[in-house]
Amino acid sequence: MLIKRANDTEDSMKKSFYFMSWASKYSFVAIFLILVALSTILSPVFLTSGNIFNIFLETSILGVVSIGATCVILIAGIDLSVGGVIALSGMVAAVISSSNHGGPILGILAAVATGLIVGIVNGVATVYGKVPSFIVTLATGTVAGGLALLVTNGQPVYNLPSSFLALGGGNIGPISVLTIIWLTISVITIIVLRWTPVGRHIYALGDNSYAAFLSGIRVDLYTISTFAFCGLLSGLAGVLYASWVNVGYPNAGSSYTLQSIAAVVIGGTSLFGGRGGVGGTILGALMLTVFTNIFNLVGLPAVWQMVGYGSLILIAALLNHWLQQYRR
Amino acid sequence: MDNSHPLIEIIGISKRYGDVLVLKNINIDIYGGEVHCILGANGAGKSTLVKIMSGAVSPSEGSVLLDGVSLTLKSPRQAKRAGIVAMYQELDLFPNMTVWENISIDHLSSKMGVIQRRKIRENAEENLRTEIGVEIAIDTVVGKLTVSQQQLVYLAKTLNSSARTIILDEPSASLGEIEREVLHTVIKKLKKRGLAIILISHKLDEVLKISDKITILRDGGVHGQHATADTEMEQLISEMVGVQSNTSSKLRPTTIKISEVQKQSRSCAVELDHVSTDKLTDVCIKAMSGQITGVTGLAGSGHEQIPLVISGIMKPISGSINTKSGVSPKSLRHAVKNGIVYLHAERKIGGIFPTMSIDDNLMVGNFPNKFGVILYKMRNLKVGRLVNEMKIQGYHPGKRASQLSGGNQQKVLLGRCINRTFKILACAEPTRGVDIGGRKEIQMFLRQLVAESPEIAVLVSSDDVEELCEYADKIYSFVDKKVSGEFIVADSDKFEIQRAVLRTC
Repeated sequence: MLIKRANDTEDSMKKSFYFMSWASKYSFVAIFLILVALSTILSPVFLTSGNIFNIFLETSILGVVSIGATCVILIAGIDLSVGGVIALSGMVAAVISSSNHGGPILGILAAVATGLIVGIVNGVATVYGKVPSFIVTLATGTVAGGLALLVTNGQPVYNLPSSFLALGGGNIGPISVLTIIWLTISVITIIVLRWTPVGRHIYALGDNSYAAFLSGIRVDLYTISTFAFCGLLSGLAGVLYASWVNVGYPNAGSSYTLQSIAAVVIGGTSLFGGRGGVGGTILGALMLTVFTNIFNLVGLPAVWQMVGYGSLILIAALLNHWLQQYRR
Repeated sequence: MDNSHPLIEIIGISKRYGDVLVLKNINIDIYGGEVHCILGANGAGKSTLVKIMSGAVSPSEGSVLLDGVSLTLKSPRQAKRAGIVAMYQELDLFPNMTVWENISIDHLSSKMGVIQRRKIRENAEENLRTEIGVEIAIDTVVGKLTVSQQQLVYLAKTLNSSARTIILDEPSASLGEIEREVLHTVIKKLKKRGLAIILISHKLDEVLKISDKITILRDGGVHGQHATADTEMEQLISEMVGVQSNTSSKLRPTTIKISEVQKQSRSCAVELDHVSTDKLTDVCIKAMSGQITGVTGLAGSGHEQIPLVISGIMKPISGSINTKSGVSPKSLRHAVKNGIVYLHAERKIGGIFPTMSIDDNLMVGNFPNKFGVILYKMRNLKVGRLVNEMKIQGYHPGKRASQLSGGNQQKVLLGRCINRTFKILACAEPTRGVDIGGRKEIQMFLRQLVAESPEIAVLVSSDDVEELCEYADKIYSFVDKKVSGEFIVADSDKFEIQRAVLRTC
């Protein structure tokens, strides 16, 4: 009898341990589900299809940026130039699209190339200049933000061509084009990270860069490419943003820098590199939007929104850290 | 100074790690005003003894007395307070602070809570000039000094404290000729002041020159104690190694018998032809395919450099590296591409990806893929095969590498090496930090590797001569950055090789 009870507790302990070790890997799923459940209780409108599509739409641009941020953080770097790049590439896209010599396609290409160039500069300065990416990207982001203002002397660009606006305003069925772009890039990145040697080597690089070097992995090339990829996506996000709001704003996008990092961290990716992934980042970005959304639906003042927003990030990070002890 | 009582008494110290008795009932008396050297081959228990005296490790039995009072040393900090200071190879200096700040960090005199910079700086300068007798720019940041200079700064810092006993662990291993002289002068000064100096050194000529007493450890026990004046190098070597030397070798202590290298039918896989780097001088060695070639020596003797040179990490200043295929490695990547794989000595620093799965750890660098997409079925097959071949215990799919024991991690790293197409395996300390069972398995594995694929050459660098003798075919010994001997293991005895390693020319 006694023995049986002992076995029982051992079994249940084992079970709870397995649950905890699962939770330690996917704590962001748990937080996401809790957040969704709470929101559903708080507002009957929350779980309607209209609101859900809206949440996805509003997450899209943050989502695109966060994919790049995830990759950079996976190799134990950080990209603070995201906001500046969004502003600059948005302006480039807007100006070229609406000029007589340019056009939307040229504008989009130029904008994405702008992001790519900043990304390459970030990577090269980090690798060959041996300056921490924190500083490099802080500097390049500031430069990009300044250039964005310089393009039109701080004036917004209105009257964008309608073909350019189709990108941000269009829908395919009930789903917006922006969401489709975001999720497509996410899926491709997930596949690359998970199913290709390149992806696994990015994890290896983040986990132990010296061991990666000794294994014959081209550490420098991978690092530069990752920053370039992040820059490219920031450039794309700038285009999408301008197209979505119908205006080229020289001050656009500054909030995306820290939001993208928050989304990555809430999504379970370690700032020390080598652990996490884009799947978590999708949920992380969604969580940030859900949070804003439910505050709006319930009608709480914006001040409390900020307090709650910050708390969410802290709680997610603490929970994630605490759960690491259960990792198998 | 009262020298009739020992300053430090080590009484009946034993240390047990699991089932292994590392130190057996050690008794040593150390007097003030003497340099007491502790000698021993690798694994004799020297480093454990030092760690016990400096408070980093607590003994299983026995005690350390200072001035007849028993000390309970729970941490290096406590030992320091009691007056026992240890100087390890890694120095605890603050690299971003200046020389004078480092020297006086433990007692910054202050006036009303504000430190008196000028006075402290002057004291430090005075200290460095008169006590150590060297000119080091006192306002330089310590991180910019050479390792030798840093050691002298550390000595000055130690002298500036109230230490009564100083433990020097291999102090001259990284010192240049001039700094070594300075060190010896400082040691003499300290002696005069009545401090007890405990010296751990492999360099027998240095030991004979500056020590007063010598204790020899062997297999965890005290094997002999001598006054330095009454001993000779040959006697020390014999006691460390274990067999009485014959008189003929005593007559010519610096010449080393080089065994006749037999004509091998096997071909040379890689050859270093008069290679020099800043840590190697004119080295010529050959590694045959189908054989395990060992390189050994004391720490800093240069053998550690050989795998680095062969795998393209260190480039020779002069001389050339010739491989069978005709390429000489230009960089690590170039070497890897041409079938030279490298295993780093420190698996935590240069080997394991701790948070990645064992599976990925094995595959890194060579994932089975088609058009850039990993073939997971094939990967799992390969992983399964490697786990079996390497006898990796505790594997299950997706488990993180950091959860394996040291020995099994090492097997994972070797598995990663053989997962690639290679002709030359250059490994540094493949059995370091591995338990005895794991060691045997790794040795067996390397033997099997060359037996089954005679086109493969294995090169191992290790400072454990005895172990190397068990599985290498040929061994090169290194002394002072040069090759001091070449031995076909089957034709030579272990002691001969150990002598070649210990003898300082």
